[in-house]
Amino acid sequence: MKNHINREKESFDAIVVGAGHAGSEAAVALARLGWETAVFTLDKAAVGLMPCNPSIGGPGKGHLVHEIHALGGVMGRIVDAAAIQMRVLNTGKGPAVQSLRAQADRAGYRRLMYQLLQQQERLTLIEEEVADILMENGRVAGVVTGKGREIKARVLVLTTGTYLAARIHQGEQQKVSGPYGLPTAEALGERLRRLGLKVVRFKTGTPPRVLRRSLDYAKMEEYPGDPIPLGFTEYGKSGKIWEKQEMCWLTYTNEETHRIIKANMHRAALYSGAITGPGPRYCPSIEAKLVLFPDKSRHQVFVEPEGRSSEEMYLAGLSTSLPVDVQEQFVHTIAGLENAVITQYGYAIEYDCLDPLQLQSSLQSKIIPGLFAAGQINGTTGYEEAAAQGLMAGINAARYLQGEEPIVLKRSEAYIGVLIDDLVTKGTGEPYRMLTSRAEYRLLLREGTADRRLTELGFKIGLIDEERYRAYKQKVAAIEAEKKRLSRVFVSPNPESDRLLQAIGTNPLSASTSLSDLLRRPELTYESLAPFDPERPVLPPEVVREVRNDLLYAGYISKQERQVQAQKRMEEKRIPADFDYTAVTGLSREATEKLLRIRPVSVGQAARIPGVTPADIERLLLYMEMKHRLETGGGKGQTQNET
Amino acid sequence: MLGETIAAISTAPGTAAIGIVRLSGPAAIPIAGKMFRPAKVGGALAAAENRRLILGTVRDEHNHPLDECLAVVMRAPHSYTGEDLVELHCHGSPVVLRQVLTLAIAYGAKPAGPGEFTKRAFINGKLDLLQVEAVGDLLAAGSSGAAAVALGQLRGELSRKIEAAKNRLQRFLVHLQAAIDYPEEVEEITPEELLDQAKEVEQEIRALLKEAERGQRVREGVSVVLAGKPNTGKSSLMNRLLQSERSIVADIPGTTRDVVEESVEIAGVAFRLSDTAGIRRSGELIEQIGIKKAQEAIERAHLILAVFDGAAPFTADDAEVLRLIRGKPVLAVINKHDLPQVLDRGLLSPLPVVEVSALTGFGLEELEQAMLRQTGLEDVGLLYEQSVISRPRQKGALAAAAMAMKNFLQGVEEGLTADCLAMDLEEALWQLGSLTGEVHREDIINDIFAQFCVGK
Repeated sequence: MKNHINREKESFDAIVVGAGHAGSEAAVALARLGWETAVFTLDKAAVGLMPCNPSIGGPGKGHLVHEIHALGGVMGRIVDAAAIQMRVLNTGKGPAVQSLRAQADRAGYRRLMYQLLQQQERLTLIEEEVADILMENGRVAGVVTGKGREIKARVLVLTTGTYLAARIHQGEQQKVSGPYGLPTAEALGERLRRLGLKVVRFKTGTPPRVLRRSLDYAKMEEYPGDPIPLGFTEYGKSGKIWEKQEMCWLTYTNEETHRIIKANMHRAALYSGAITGPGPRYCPSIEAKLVLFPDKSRHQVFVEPEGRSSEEMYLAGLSTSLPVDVQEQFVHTIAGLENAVITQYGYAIEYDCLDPLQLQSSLQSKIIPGLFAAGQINGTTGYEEAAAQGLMAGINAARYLQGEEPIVLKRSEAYIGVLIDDLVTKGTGEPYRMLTSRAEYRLLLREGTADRRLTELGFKIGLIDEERYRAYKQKVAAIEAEKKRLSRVFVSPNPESDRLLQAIGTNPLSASTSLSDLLRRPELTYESLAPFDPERPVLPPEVVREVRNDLLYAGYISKQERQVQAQKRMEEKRIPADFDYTAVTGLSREATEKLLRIRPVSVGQAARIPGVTPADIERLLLYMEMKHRLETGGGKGQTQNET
Repeated sequence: MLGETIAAISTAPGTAAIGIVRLSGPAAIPIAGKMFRPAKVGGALAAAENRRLILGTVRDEHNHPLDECLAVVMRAPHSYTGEDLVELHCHGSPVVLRQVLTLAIAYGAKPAGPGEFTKRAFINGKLDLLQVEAVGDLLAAGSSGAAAVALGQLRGELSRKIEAAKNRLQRFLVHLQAAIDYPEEVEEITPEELLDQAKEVEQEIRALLKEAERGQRVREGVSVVLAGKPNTGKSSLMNRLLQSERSIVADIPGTTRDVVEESVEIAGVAFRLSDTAGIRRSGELIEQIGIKKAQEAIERAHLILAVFDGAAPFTADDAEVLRLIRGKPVLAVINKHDLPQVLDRGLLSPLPVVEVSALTGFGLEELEQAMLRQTGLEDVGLLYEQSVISRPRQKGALAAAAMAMKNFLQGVEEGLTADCLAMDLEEALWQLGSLTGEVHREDIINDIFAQFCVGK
């Protein structure tokens, strides 16, 4: 159905508020799973908008995009189609942390996402503000628009990004505005407070953009894409999208840049007291970098095209809340930017978001049935983090409508699981960014294993179609078959094999050895063993890569699998929702408060709450054990002598 | 429940000069106040100065005196448990103490469960886990050395050493992870650059582990088996070491048919001596059983004292003894130094040899020194001053940390990638953290942002 037919429709199954990266994923998932869905946007120009850096992926984030795609989400497909440069980062640091990063065409990304929402069956895009939430019997019943229209729905997904009561700061100047001069949502934040939700204020920022043709590229270093660009999806990997890759550039701030910024530090909104919300450490402003690292004589500035045919370049590394006149001064001190024409000034933006500790692992509110939240409203930063939550909120909102148990990914299953578990268990005091350092089972959560971890589940949920599922099954079968075959091909020690092995830089053999054992030597690659393997089948490169990674890292992988098993006992020890923590002897006050507030579903989750110590967990386990014994009629006598 | 006040007799059961009844909890002072009448006017417990002994009488509900005693008040948080705590130092009669305790319970105190005072100290944050274990060890110490080791842990010296190793590992991990999460901004640190420092940390952990093995011996005692052919004087030697007449001593070969165990303290270390049946190649069934038991004891022992008769020639039975103890930690003891010597000492080579006379006590001191030396405890005095790991749990964590460091170093040699190497570092770090205080993932992330200027 086309949206113009539905414009006056007053009842849907689901409503998604916001059509950014979280909202788009949530809305498409709901609609694809069979639910009539309305997605609201303040402005059509905000659909699929990347308001900050024109890039997607990188360590932790690229992992998320692979997982979104493996589950049946849309981000990977869109970015592959809109990419103008691809680069694999961390190539020398191992398969677990290797990650793909795309420079994307901002306009192209928006256009593709807009088309996708328009074309999706059962999905209606409505360009109107959501001002109020309708409630019935303590449950979500719909929304009231800015124009006073009542639209009914049983489930509501809030993906408001940075638009709730947004304020933009440029030095002393402050204005009511969303990113890119887009409108703000003023009423909804207040409504959320009245519903009893805790709303906090966060801050983020963006750097100036400059006119592409006004830069002197001879003074900057080239920062090219990979010779053979990969993609996040099968589509991207097939290489169809590439005519040519765009170049990025690298330049540096200098002492003069720093002098100007320091002299004007008191005028930065961040330091003048104009901004109260905490900003992300993950993308600090240039003024914050100078304050925190006064000894660094220069900082990197990556100059990135905003699109193939865009006239603008993005200055990654120069995010700032300084006034525009200071931006004019310091930008021109930088090599290559001497004559840069600034097309859009940098700014800091403050917005309302929810304390994510109020959410369950399904991303549903703990107190309002039918209300889900995803993306920056949950205190995260980044398109990928938003999309990952949007997808899960969409899936779980659909399951809520269906009356099914939510899908909660484990920390050992996906970075998405780590992300959501961190948010609902630890909360966040600043915008949260995904990092590989946050994941304990990194060897299992490789980008290359995303499909093996999640596509089966995506198929069961209903977001992976038959065709993709078959292709996936074939790939897995090919990996397994090849591993089996390699374990049956042996190389025996003889002068000929000694010579060949030495030629490829490895020690000769002392006994007959299978090719799979040889592949466990870090210095050898699958390709280098070709001379020993004349009957080798022709396999797609991603199959070869995964075969080799599975074999080379088998020891570490099985060690992590054992750790997952060891942790499982704690994860499976459920804590009832009405558990009385005040009755547990000896819990610290901090632990009791946090446990009461967060209400972890398992002892494993309880143990991850900051401020809950291993000693608290011992006491909790002890109490649960004693309670269980009492209830089952056991128990121990007391002795009167101290031991 | 923590809100309750507990009471217990805190001294060992049996008659003694003094016996202490201890109360801990919010009502400890009021309850003790009802039980105790100060000798001096105005000496009420509620107004008593902290940690000052007050003379008075314990009287029951009918105002009958139960005992004359000294009371001391320690208010929260400055007490062992971190709660209000009262000790009543009574006369050490079990009957009196029982009456005093019953009275405390009648006034509302709950009888304390095993270890509950220490548990409360732990709960109230007065002790960390290492220290709690140390309290248990201190109370159960079977030798003065074991007590010294426990006391060292209680003082937290060990925690400081582990903390130092932990901090260094954390710095390595932070650098590796910062470069992984911000590859375009953080200058890469190659694992090779960490190699020398990582080796140092590994050695530190190994040193702690080695100490731990010695610490465990001190805590648990060293098991020593006396083995030898019949009639070499094993039982006499054991008795000489024990300076008692516990074992049956006779001239008929094969008197000791079972394994007899006794403990002796040498330089603060408990040595558990096991006397075994004489080993010989005879057919008697009962002796065969004894010899089998001796063999089992030899398998389990930390040290074997192989006893030979210096006044008799080397026999096939002696050879049998040598065969049984081959490859084990052995000290050869040549007994009967008081008689003319005929044994060919060359046949015992290369075992370390000590010559003694169980009869006269000749060479006993040298034997004790050799026993310490052979079990790695010759400088045990130093050990007491250092404070070491002594529990299997603690040792297990250290061993796991050492293993992770070994994997890390080996991985660097083999050219393994940073993702795997970081896992080994994490493992080592978490293991050390389990001893002195957990390291959280957030700590690593916080350090990344504190130490590196990253983020575009």
